[in-house]
Amino acid sequence: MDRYSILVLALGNEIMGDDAVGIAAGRPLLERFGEDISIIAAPVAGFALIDFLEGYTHVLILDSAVSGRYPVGSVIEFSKEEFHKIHSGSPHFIGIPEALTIAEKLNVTFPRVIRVLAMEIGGSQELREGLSAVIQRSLPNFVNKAAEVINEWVEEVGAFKEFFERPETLDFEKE
Amino acid sequence: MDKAVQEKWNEAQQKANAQYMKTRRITIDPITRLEGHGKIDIFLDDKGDVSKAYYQIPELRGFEIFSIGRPAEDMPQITSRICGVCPTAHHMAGTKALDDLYSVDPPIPAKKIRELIYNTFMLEDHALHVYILSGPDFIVGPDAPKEKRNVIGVIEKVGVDVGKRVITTRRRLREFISYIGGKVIHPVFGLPGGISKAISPDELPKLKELAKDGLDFALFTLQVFKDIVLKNDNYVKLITSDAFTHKTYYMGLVDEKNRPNFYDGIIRVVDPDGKEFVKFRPQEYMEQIAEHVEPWSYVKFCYLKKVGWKGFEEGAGSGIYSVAPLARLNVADGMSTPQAQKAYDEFYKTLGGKPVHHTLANHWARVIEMINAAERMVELVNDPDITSKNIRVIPTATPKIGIGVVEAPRGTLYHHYETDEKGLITKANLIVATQNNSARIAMSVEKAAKGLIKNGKVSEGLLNMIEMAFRAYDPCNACATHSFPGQMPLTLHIRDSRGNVLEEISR
Repeated sequence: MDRYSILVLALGNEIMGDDAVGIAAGRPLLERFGEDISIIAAPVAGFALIDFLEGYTHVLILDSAVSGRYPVGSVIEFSKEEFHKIHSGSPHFIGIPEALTIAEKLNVTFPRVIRVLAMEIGGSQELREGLSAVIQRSLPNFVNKAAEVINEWVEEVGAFKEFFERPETLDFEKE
Repeated sequence: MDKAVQEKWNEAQQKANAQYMKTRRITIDPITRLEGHGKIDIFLDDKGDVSKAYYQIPELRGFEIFSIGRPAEDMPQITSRICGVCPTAHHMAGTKALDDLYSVDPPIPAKKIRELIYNTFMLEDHALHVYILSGPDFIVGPDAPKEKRNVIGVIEKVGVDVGKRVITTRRRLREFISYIGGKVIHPVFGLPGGISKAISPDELPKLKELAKDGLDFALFTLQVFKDIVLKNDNYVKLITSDAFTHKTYYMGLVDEKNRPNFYDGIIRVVDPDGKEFVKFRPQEYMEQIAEHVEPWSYVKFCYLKKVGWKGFEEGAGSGIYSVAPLARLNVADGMSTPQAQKAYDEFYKTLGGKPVHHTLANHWARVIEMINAAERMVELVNDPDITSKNIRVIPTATPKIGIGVVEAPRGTLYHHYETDEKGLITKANLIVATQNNSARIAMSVEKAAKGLIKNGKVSEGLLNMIEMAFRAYDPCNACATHSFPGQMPLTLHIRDSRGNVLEEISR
């Protein structure tokens, strides 16, 4: 195989407070798993998601969620099957459902397995750096759940020490 | 209680309840296919017709406080994170504000490379809008079932090959932006006095091919629009219908020949008859633009100071103005490139001359701008200056105030920074494109609602047509967040005249 098979895509915006929780979870995962799998931080939504997902077999997306149905700090999981229908989302918010359906329609090579772990946050749209206290306290749990998924997949597909194409990491800088 | 009295009481109560039900408030909350969380409240009168409609969008809070104390040179990176879709617009406006702040004029090659990147971005962003946002309205059709009124419906209508072409073209354009800027979403490209990276001559063949393919794609998109939209009489009637028409002022950046320039120029405003009202430099914007506040909305409504705020009214007596593709064409005397000029001429010939006041014509104007952006790309990649190494003048002046303006895809974007002598922000203000349009968007929603909802009859299709009224502006409602579920669920609140929720409908 000539590229990474497993991708962790940590989504978020680091100047929008708790919206950055996905990226915050990605950093410790990079420390633990960065040699063996792709871990990318990206403040992307929409069509750009297709660019990142194409070619991988297993993708774990870490993100924040504003569903209003769970206590703040809860970690919610979504699987590919659960959101496999198109919604009338905006081009800016074109999310996994739309990206998946588009990819299928256009015969884009798409991951066999996609799982989304999202942490429920408040709905504030405020410019702020740093996570709120409740989200900060919930972060280790988020990281642990993500690590469980990664370990499960590494066992399934193996880790790749030899790589030919390392994807550009937008915000994570590995020393 | 006496039985007869009880019966009379019950009968009266039922009548009263029935009366309340007639005066309904319909809320579209939040709005589909837009970023951010917007809401529309529609109030019906006793007859079931619309008495009032309010379009509310949330404000991105805390920007000024967030900025204070930060180095001004960080602002192009910070502000590019405000919007995950149009980061390049904020980055460029921020960069130009820094030029002004440090009183430095970049070398000509740097300006040309900036303009090349910027037109690449405009082409990519407009293409996405046309096929993804407005496509479901026009390519699929406003009366199509809601399951089809999305990008999949568009792909099914135009074909898989076209769908692949949209994605591939878009990706190649973004890769070029990434090559120059380091990152598409958080570009590190603009610096006060120039740019950070030159274009290597080795990249030119690829860039020339990209520009040529981009132009082919833009011209193809115009043909798709003509074949599917303009040849359909129902669509044309919709575009020119009174429900989607407003006679306001228009604003846009123009060059020395009054042709649209997305990257740089002077701001020109024309009145509802198309005559030039004012031209001003970016630094003079505060003398021209004021903001009005309404108690029911977070957003401030921009208007022309010299005309004044006269309420949500159109006409020459009201200071409300519009920005974005239709406005940019209305303020122009022509286009700077030949194919775009041809399309511009056809546009005005078809729609009865200048200015065009039909809000839905924004979609057509957007396609014409795609062509202009692509043609400018072709011109610039073939310009000998484009591989020059003379890409920056180092600033030496003490900073104080800097104002930068670009035409974002959604309209005129203003960045205003004030700093201390060390270049740390003491005050920052943005007027984003959508804010310029906010008053007219509110009017469009109300007018569409009044034109389409009669006798209390509200259907999902009608609601979609009301949403078409504001989708034409491609409003950006603070799309800085990325939270799942990655969709805009729609909830309708039907309220009585006192605001009590009588019924809730979810999309």
